[in-house]
Amino acid sequence: MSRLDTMRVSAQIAVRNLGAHRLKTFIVGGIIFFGAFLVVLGNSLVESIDNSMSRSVIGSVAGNIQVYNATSKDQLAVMGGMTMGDPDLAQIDDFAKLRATLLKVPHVKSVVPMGISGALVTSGNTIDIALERLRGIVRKELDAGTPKDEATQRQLASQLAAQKDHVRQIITVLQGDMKNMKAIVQEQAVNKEDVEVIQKSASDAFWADFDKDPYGALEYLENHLAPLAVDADLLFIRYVGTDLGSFSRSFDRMKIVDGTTVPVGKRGFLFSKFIYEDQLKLKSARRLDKIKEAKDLRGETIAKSEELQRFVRENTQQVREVLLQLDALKTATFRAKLQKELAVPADPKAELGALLAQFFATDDANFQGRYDFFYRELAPDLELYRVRIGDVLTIKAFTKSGYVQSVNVPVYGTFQFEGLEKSALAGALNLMDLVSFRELYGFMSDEKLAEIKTLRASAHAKEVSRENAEAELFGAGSDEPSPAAPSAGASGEVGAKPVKAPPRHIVANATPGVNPEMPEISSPLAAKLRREEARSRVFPPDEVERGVVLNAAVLLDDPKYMRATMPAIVKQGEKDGLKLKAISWQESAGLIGNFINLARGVLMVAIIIIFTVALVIINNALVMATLERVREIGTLRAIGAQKRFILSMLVVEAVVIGLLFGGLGAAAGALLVKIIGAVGIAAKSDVQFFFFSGPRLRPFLNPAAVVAAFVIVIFVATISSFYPAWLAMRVTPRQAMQEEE
Amino acid sequence: MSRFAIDLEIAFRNLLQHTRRTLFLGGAIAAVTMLLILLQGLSTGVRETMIESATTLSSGHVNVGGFFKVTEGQAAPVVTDYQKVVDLVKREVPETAFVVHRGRGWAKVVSDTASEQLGVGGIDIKNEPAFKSVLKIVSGNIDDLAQPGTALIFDNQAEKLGVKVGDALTYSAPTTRGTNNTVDVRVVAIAKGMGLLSMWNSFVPIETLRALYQLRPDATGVVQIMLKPGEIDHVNPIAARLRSTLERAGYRVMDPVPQAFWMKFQSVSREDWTGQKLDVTTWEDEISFITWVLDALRWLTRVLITILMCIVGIGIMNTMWIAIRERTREIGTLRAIGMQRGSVLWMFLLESLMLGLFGTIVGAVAGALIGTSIDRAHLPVAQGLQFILMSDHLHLAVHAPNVVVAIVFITCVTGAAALYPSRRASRLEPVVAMSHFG
Repeated sequence: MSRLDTMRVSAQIAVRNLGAHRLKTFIVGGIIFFGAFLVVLGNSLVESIDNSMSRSVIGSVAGNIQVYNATSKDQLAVMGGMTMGDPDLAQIDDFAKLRATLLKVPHVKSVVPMGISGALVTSGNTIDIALERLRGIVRKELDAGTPKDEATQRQLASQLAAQKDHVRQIITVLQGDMKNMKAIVQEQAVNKEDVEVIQKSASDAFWADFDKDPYGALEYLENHLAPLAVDADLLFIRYVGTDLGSFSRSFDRMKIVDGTTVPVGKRGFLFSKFIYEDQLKLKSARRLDKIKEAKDLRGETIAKSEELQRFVRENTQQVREVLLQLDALKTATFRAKLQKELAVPADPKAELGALLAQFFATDDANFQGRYDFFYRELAPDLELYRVRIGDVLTIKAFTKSGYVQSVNVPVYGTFQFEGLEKSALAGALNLMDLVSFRELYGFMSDEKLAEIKTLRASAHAKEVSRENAEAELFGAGSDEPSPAAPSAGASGEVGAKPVKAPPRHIVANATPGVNPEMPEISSPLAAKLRREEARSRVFPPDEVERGVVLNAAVLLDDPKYMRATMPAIVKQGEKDGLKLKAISWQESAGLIGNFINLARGVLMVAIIIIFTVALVIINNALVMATLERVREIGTLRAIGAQKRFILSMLVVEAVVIGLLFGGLGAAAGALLVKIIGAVGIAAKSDVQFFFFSGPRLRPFLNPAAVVAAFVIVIFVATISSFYPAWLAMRVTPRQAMQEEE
Repeated sequence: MSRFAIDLEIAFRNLLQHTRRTLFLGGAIAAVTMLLILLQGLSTGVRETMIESATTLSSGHVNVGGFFKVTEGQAAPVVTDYQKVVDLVKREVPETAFVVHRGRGWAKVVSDTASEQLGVGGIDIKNEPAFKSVLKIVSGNIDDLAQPGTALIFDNQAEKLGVKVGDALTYSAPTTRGTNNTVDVRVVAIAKGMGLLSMWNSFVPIETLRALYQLRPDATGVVQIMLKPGEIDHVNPIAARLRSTLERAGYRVMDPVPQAFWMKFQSVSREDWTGQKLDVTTWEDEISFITWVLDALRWLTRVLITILMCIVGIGIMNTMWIAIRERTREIGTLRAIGMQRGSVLWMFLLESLMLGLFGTIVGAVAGALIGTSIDRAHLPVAQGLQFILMSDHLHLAVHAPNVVVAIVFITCVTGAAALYPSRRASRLEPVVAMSHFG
């Protein structure tokens, strides 16, 4: 008999035996079915999540590959690493050169310069807006040019009174803040001037004299009081400094939501829409949004969800933020509107706070109505966001060496990534122009460092005159705009500084860049100048291109070349004299990138353990099935079957079961994947939005999983049939025939 | 000999008779038991590491922390007039072993060569016995932390900042006024890292922390309550009780939110109150950002063991079917000579239970041995896993109660799997059974 014939016969016998030994078939087949099912389903799910997550990571900020200086102490982590704060990266001095190098590498489509950092933002516009409005009314009233009838006059007077009340209300709050501070802060740390300013602004005498010299009084409030309030509202944000044009071209999921993009060459800031909503929106409105989202998206109810109940409770308790925005006129309008909506008797003396609390005490039945009412009737009269599009942000950051640097940048708009609107992870980073980023990070080009050295030498005793620094920064017609002002390096304080103040000398400290005695000076004129500068100055593209960056995102024309491109980048860097390190998006995403590897590892270990135990159980079932067939086997041997035939018969039998049930199991798994793929798994939390790269995960069948399932199943079936087959092989015809019933 | 002993002997002999089958099935059961015990050991070990590092570095078993808001938009992790809170806790919480207080902060730490953002714990080293005994000091002397202007950092930070004992560091942080303040300190001790939490924690004397933030001498960050042994499992009721006690004493207390204090800044600074509010948390709340690891491990253990028990169950049922078929005539004979149905069922069930018991005991012993030796070996773990396991080496804690539960549980499952086949066996009619061939 040829080998082929043997196979044919043993296959025939195997298929027949499947029916003959139903119990064994059922048990062995069942386990194999389940195993194959699990392999296909688990693998497809993990691969699908991997795939969609990679789209999220690559499409939002990481790009396919991240390149940074190989001499850096830490690994780059664009989405936050294990340590808090920023990783310590060495700088890349010249981005233009880096780009030229990277573009030489095959498959590199585009290169985006980057630097990631975080900073404190002072954003408190309540008093600014209030003072601006007050100034507007005063101007109208004092405007002698246009004739006014009596009615207009009266209206203006009442507006003025209302606005004055509003400002005084804010001052009362500041007074309370000052009292609070004394409860925790050492006495000598409280600035006496601040206390005096607040006392004076709050005094009745000040307001009695207001009309005598309204402009003078306004100036006093704007210059001395407003800065105290600004410091009150601090917000920590993370941002990427980048070439915004090239960023939006390369990451094409990015879309501007509000406002416009930053014009080429200008300073500018774009808020992530998620942050803008989550942190800058009026808290009451944000909580309404959150409740609505939970109800619409996740089907939660206020009655059942503890979290939503907390939102409602906070909304009813915290109405002060809304109240503070309202002057007397608006307060009256709100009162009337709310009394109508809440169907309570119109009472012009009713306290608005209580009405608002009553309005915000929503339940599942009235929520939708109140939500609509809020946005239709109340929101137009409120400043919904702490920072408006067009405002100038003052960003204070710790530079790399620990001193504080501040920069003014105008906010041009908000952006989001398509499909990732709800994800906190994708929306965690805001965007900023590179020039401002470099200043905040405290970069100094070599020539600037040399300049500082010369300055220090000329000023003797390691001193830098602030006059010189000033000239460097604001020098008229300075044809060499620098990414980092020299004074930043020497003193660590570029922010507000008095232009007309007598020259101040700043001692360079023993610890580079740290000056513990640094006084905080604020002069409105300098601040104004800087704000003007922030808006109007246009930086030549060359400066943006040729300056320092921390890292660069590399986008490839085809992601499958990622592994090959990474060493190519390093090699090309060496050739061009750059020490580069290239890491994949998984690595640059840090923990999140590791997650999928962890999931894959866990799945693999689980499958190995499951199949090991399955192997033992299948083996046991086969052994017993074989022992039952000793007589049959003996008979076969007696009629001339060779040992090898018996062996192959039994192994083939197991493999046939494996193939049949493994196939069925894989098919069932594939079917389930298809069904889930058609329906989609809805993302419920913001993390899931990121992992699913959109509102729904649509798993796809991974062909490799099906192949893997078959390989594993056949392997297990073969291995587990060897021992029983070996037992059967040893059965002699005589032994079998003698076997007692 | 009693009936039970005879039954046991019969079951035992039957198992012995089918050595191969017994060995395979028993082996599978033993493997699953071992796996269960190892996975449980891992969960427990991770939990113990978490409790230890959390309660050493950033939390007591129960904490009274909180926020002081100077203005609406700004929250400082400060408890004012803390001595009153300490007295109240000592009076009202009898489970307390001891109470310490620490300052909380977050600063930029600058050395000559590098800088890093680190958490700053203000500590009164003289009153922190547990802290001293748990930390492993690599170099320097921890007692020097009693002097002002000193700092204790961890080895990973020392490496990053490029400093050794005796070197200077500058801490820079924004004060409650939004302005920045700096303090120069000298490194007096470098401790061995304790996993994730020690990566971003450093310690200075509390006076130094107050100087950094310009705080009054009666301000601290958190009052940490360490409970007496055995009370650690009751942290939640104790925290709830403490919350109402504080409220009765006139404090404003925040709603319980299971998050670490530094995760609450955003929500707290967006609330519209000012002044002091206290926040009672447990150690689990303070490391909530990492406890998902425990949940994931437990979930994984459950799923894996369920699947495996299903497979083993199928194997046991298969074996029982075949055993019953083989022994049909024997059953018939036994029934014919007067054995009751219940006894037949019991006989088969006992056999399976005994197999399960032997299997699980062998597995449990093997699991406990392997687990303990892995723990002893102090196997180092990869950097990525350190984040999850909160330790630089593998810690498995195999405890007797867990082992017993595993043995009982799996034995019961094997018994349950045998129930149906045994019932079938007991239902056989004696006449039919005796004339059965095959």
